[in-house]
Amino acid sequence: MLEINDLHAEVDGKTILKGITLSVKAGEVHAVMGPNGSGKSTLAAVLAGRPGYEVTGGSVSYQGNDLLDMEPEERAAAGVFLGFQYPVEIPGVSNSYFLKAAVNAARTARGEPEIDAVSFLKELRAALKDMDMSDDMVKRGVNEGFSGGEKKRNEILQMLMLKPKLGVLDEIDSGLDIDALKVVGKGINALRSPERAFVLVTHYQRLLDHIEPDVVHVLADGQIIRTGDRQLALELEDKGYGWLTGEAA
Amino acid sequence: MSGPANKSVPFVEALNQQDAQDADALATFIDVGLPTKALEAWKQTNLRPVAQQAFALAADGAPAGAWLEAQDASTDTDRIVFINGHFSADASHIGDLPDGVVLAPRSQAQNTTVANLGQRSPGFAALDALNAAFAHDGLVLHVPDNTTLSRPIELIDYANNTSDQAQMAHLRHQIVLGRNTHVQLIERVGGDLASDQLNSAVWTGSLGDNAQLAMSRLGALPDDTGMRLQRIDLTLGRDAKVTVASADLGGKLVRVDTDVALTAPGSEAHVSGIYFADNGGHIDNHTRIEHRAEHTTSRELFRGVAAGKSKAVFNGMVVVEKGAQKTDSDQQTAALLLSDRAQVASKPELEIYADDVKCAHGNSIGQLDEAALFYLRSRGLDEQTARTVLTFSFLNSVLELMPDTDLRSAAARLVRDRMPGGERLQDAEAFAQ
Ligand SMILES: Nc1ncnc2c1ncn2[C@@H]1O[C@H](COP(=O)(O)OP(=O)(O)OP(=O)(O)O)[C@@H](O)[C@H]1O
Ligand SMILES: [Mg+2]
Repeated sequence: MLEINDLHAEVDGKTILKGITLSVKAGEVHAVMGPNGSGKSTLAAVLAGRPGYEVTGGSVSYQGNDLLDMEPEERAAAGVFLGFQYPVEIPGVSNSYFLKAAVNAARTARGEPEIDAVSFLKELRAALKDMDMSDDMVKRGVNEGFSGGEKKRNEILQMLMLKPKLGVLDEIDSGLDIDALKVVGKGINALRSPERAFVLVTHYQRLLDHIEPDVVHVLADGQIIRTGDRQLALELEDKGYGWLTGEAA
Repeated sequence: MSGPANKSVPFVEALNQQDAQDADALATFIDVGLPTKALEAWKQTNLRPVAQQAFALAADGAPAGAWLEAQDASTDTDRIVFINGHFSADASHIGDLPDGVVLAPRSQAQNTTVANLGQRSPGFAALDALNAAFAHDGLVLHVPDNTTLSRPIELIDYANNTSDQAQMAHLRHQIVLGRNTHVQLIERVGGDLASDQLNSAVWTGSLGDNAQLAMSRLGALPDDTGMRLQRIDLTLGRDAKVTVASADLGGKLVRVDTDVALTAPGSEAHVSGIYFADNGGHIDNHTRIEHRAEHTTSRELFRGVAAGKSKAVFNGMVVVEKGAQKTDSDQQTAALLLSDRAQVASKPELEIYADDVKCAHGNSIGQLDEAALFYLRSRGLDEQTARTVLTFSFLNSVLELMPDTDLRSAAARLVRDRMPGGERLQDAEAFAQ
């Protein structure tokens, strides 16, 4: 589904991704771990097409198409979803308007008619319930005044409504208490299917207790320095990154 | 001090003494002349487009054109319509009013005088005189003590020019609200203009103790022909409260001065506005809040955008006089530049002569937030829609402060119409709740 090959990227003239190769098949869950500043969010941003991130080498193909050649909204239409490490607050645009606009953009891209108000509300209510969010949170501005945990739940709420094919979730577990982590884990698991794939950026093994990864990668200084199975995540939890990067733990 | 005035310019030379209602005011205007950029208050707004043309005073009897026809005839308001500065009985309707209330065009009201305002607003003195000289009509509203008007009063100031001649028209309004009164006021400004037209309007109002006035304004003049010079001057008594919420959404040259004097403890001014300059237009908002007594409060919030090759100006003066202790004032302004040819000049000004006061202000000019733009695009909204959504929400959050909900919706529609793809924001009401 996703083939990243020797990807190099820079931000503001600074090289951050230094040759990343990664292959994600439909149905798989990949975890990407690594020290702060290693380039995990940069990788996610490049996959979603964030302006200002310049690809200087390599390629990314998604479902056989050149992902890097697509606008961010085209990627979204093709089923790529980025869960933000720091979701953006947009005061003045209500969450419900935003969700509806996003759902309709996806439907239009698929050649389907816009969703009717009743079906939209039904889906929204179900997703809100799954995410343990109150109705009034969709009336508020997008992420406006939300706590860190509420913002993360709102990301998953959007993902449940949009049903992407590839979910790239950047530290979706940071700032979540145990209960919220369960809720978020449940939301992600609900979408797992043989046609969908996920890339989970995380610092913590505990997320992976809820969502079992097929493959675990360690990203350090812009490169993947180790790939393994679940055991690798447990080992990292135990020993830190030092033993892999050559520094003292 | 006053620099070279526009005295011997086509505008002044074309004035017809015979048309003047007030010879003294005309003499004052001719003596002072149109303000020039040498005056501080007119630094950012050049009146040359006015000075260089001869404007004929618009005659009575102009028809109701497309713009006026399109104003939904709300039955829930007392509507008073002026066409080119002349009262239109046909287009107006006034229902039953509580005892003692005077609501009439000045041409039909008795025993009313309108104060001369020149002294208080040096930047507007000449224009005030011009308005006084030529305005022979306007709204008169007197509300006796302890009276609430249940319906809003809706004033329509309509400009119509089907000729190939530049025209001008003037209105002078007066509001006197007694103690414990409640009044909602709406001002709609628009026009159908084949040629340039200059409309001026001066509002003077006084609010008695504990009176409340909620004023909603919507101005949308054609960007190629509509010119407007407006001043609102309100004086508040003890515990009186005024809200003035404006939306200025078009015009070749629009200048609105909103001045509030808080003369007694407990009085409050809430002044807000949005503007959207485009198509080479020019929109200038000046506010002046005078805290003249202790325990007075003011809140100001202005947001606007300038697109294309347009220019917008905001200047917010807050004066805290000696003795006005415990003044609480806050002024926040923000502007978005939607193109690199657009210009915004925004300036807060504080003059504080008391020491125990709280005066906050914030002023920003910038572009749309790139992070928010990307967030929307990453959820599938195309770039243009994302820009339109963000621009609309930027303005809408201030528009929400407009007391009259019908006027607010009308303003929201006009904002959408000014943006590419804006018609797709159909459920704008659902935007922010
Ligand atoms: N705009 C920028 N200009 C210069 N350097 C940047 C910019 N944005 C990010 N960086 C740098 O790129 C590097 C990688 O950042 P990135 O956010 O991808 O790290 P990360 O692995 O997600 O870290 P964390 O675990 O803290 O989220 C960091 O050194 C960061 O300082
Ligand atoms: Mg990160």
